[in-house]
Amino acid sequence: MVTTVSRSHATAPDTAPRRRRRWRNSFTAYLLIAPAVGYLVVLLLFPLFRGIQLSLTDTKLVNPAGGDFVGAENYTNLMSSGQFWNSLLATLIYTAATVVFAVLLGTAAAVFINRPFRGRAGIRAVMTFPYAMPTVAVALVYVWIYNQSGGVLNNSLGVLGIGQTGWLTDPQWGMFSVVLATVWKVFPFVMLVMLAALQSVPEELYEAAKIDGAGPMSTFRAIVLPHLAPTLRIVALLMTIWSIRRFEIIYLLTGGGPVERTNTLVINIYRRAFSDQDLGVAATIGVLGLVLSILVTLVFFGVERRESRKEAAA
Amino acid sequence: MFNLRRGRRLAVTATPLAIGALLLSACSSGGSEDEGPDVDEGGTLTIANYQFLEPGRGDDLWEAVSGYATENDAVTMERSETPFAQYADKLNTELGAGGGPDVFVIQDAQFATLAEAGLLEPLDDVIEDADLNSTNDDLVVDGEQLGVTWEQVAYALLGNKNVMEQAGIDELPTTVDELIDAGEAVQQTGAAGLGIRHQMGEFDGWYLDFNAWPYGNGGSWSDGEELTIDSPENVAGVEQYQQVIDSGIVPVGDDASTFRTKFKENQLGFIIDNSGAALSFTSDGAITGTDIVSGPLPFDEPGQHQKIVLAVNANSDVKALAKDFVRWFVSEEGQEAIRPPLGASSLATDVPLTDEFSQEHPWAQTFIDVNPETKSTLIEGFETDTKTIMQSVMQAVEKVITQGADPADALEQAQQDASSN
Repeated sequence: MVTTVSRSHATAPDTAPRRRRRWRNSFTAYLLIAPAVGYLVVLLLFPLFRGIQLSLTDTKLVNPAGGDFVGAENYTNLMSSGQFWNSLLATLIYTAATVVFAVLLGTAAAVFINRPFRGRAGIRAVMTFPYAMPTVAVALVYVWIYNQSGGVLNNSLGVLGIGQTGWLTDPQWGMFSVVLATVWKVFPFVMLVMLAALQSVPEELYEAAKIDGAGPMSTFRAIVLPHLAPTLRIVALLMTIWSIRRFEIIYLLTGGGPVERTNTLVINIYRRAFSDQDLGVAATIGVLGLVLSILVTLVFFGVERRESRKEAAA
Repeated sequence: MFNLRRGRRLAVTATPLAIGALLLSACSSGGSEDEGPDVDEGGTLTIANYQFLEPGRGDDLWEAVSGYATENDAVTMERSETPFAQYADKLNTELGAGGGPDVFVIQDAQFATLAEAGLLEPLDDVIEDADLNSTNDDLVVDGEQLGVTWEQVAYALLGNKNVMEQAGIDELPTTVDELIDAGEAVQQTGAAGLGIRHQMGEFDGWYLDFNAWPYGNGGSWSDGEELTIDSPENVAGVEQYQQVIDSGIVPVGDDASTFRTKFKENQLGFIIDNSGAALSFTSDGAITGTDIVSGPLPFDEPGQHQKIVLAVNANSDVKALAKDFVRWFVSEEGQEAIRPPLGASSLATDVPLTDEFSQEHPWAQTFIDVNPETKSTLIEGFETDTKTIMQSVMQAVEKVITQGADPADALEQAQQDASSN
């Protein structure tokens, strides 16, 4: 106590140098984070501001500086347009189907290749291959596979006596075909992440379950799944956000067709911006898409908080 | 109940967003009055054209336009190549941002949009001595010549003679019913019947090609003042298109590059296409010009033409040089240089086909003959909205061919959609 007081008295005359030192430390800190802040301002905040600003104007692609302020007109027009709601529905269907199937397939594949068997390394490499392929190449391969008149799929089905299907041209099959190609492309990501999570499950837990007479399904439900749950949630969130904003594979396979069935928000943005040359409306759809992504993220954090509380209570 | 702390947090987040959005509205760009360095000083001249990527013909086209460098040896010419599917979007984005190539070709629909936006340089002073034909007349906007015809390409029915012979067909069909019969006969040999675009993924090319069907039935998309999308003639055109697709002679799923390749490889009997595509079939030597037969479209009325326009960027750094290139292009020398690789198209001046070309490409004469009768793919009175209107039309056509929707109902819906936009 006495020592503290005397020390504080002793340092009192040095207030100015201390302040200078503190300022110098703060300055260094600000200097160090400046590049990161600059990066965020230029590549995140500026486009965000610009997008919001554009959505309140009637700006055209060929005259980006010449748009007039129209207030919320773009928003009200979109809300009353059936095409926007169809586009939103297509986005939700595509996202839900892609996330569900990719997560299920990726998790199943991870469980499969986590077990020791002969040639496991080779199988792992092969199963990772789709994720390493460029999306454009995947889309072109699937265009050939799905070709109605000469594609591998219809020719194979023809051998089985099943008639030709317009995988990319029939409105009944368009979304299915796009989801199938997407899941094939992205499921290895889920697989790799889940494989890492699986390898963190302590071996003793498996042994204990075995001693207790648990079968494979009960072991998975009682031991593996609780360990995987946090990773599954974050993977599902990432897959959802990526699916909402996915463009190339959908555009290259169907261009938003057939009959608008795969015209997701991102495809709609492209069409509005480039075919209709209406940057204002395209930006409005972009802002609404951002709101959708934020909602998904909020739901995720809500679930995450509830699970944390549950765990704390347990 | 409103949470004060949350409200403050919202305000803290929203205020910079709003301020930033308002500040950004100060950003602007505009065209330049500066003509750049004199022609004699030279410089680098960038010319953009999606046709430069066409196998065989692309190099011939570049060689022809490079002829300008022999007249002006101070110029360095650079070609800018983008595939057709992305060409218009990329160019619009570049020009809108104040950049882009110095000279470029554009479809007439894009010309109307760019002209309205003030992004094209007037060319009146460099075309004074040229003997321009009437194809250039509609490129005058508010009394200023903002572009010249690069080529005006008509559409015709083309047959692969080798495939036709194998199917025992002597002459090209002249009606849709005959076309279906001929397509079915070709299919018996293992080849496909008729190649036409039919997918929304190829919208930019599909809507241009599709005009053949309504125009061939005497239709049009407007009367100059009002849209006439659901007119009986247009409905008849869509019905015939549906009839052909339903007949099974079209290899559904094949995009243009696939069915054009099949035609070159003797795997497709017939194709409805433009003269530019027809010339590209023979450019890489897979088939020769004499393997192709041509005839008018199998309709009662003439079809459409695509006009491709040569224009100068109003924001170019070398505007004087770019305009001088156009002066050379419309001169006798330039037109003669560009005639062979542009084949059977109408050009900016009435430069005839050479005898040598006509002998090598007997199919070309049909295009020359039908071209004067053809109609523009631009919608009269709605020129700058052509692509947007055609989006509604092609969505209706897609419903007809994929869902079996009634053509009259589908076009009525398209009429309502296009009118309300």
